[in-house]
Amino acid sequence: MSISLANPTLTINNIAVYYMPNSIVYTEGYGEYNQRAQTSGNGAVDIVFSQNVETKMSNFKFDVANTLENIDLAKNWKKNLNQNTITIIDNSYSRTITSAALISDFEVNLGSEGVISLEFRGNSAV
Amino acid sequence: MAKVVKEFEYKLIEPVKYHKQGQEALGYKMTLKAPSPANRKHILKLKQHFIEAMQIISDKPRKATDNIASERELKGSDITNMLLIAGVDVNEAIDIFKELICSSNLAHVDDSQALTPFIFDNISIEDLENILGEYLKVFIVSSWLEKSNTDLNGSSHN
Repeated sequence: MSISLANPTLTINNIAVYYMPNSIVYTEGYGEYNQRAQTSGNGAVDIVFSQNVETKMSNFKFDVANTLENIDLAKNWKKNLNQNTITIIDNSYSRTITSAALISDFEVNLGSEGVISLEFRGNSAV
Repeated sequence: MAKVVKEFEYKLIEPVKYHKQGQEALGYKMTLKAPSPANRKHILKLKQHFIEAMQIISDKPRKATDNIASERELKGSDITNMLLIAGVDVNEAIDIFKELICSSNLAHVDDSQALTPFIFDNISIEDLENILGEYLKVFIVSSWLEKSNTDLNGSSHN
């Protein structure tokens, strides 16, 4: 039986972080590929592959509850510039993103069900 | 009067992974500090585990404890081995120890990073056993060891 990865522990800079369930989304950081066709004419097509290394970074998004503690955490991550490290672990699965920067100018939603959405970008996940 | 030790350094057998300045770093040593009276709840629970182990061991035949230090000074690993031989719940002891040193800023990795539960969970089992034993030996049961003049080979059994 296969089990979905839905309950990872999230650690940023050695501290476990509380986050809104089912809100973590990340990219592995392989980057975008492109495939184009070139032709020598007469219907003959050859595929040209390219990798856009500009996109070869991991994006990591998650939401946290709009509490004072979380606002302070987010401010510290912002102050760290790109010196944050993120690790997610779910049983035998784990990913670490180094040199992560909190790229979003996060919005603090003040409401009874408000969340703060955060987006990091860093090195490709390992 | 015995010298009061306020902290000791433990060199890790297997370096521990932790986050440092945006990278994954390896920690090679830990510095552990003496607990304060505010940590009494955890200290007393660990002491209870140890004394329970000593009680059980004193009833065991000598053979069970022959491998543990005789004339040389007790090492931290000897203390943990005694807990294991006695059948005391060492897992529970490690959980209590984890709560103690992670919550009270009592331990640092490579002098700079305060130990957190995340880093603690990355420490190898062998190192964990040694650190627990060493911490018990240096800070929690040192006076007990001196008073009882622990010499496992010297105790008599009927």
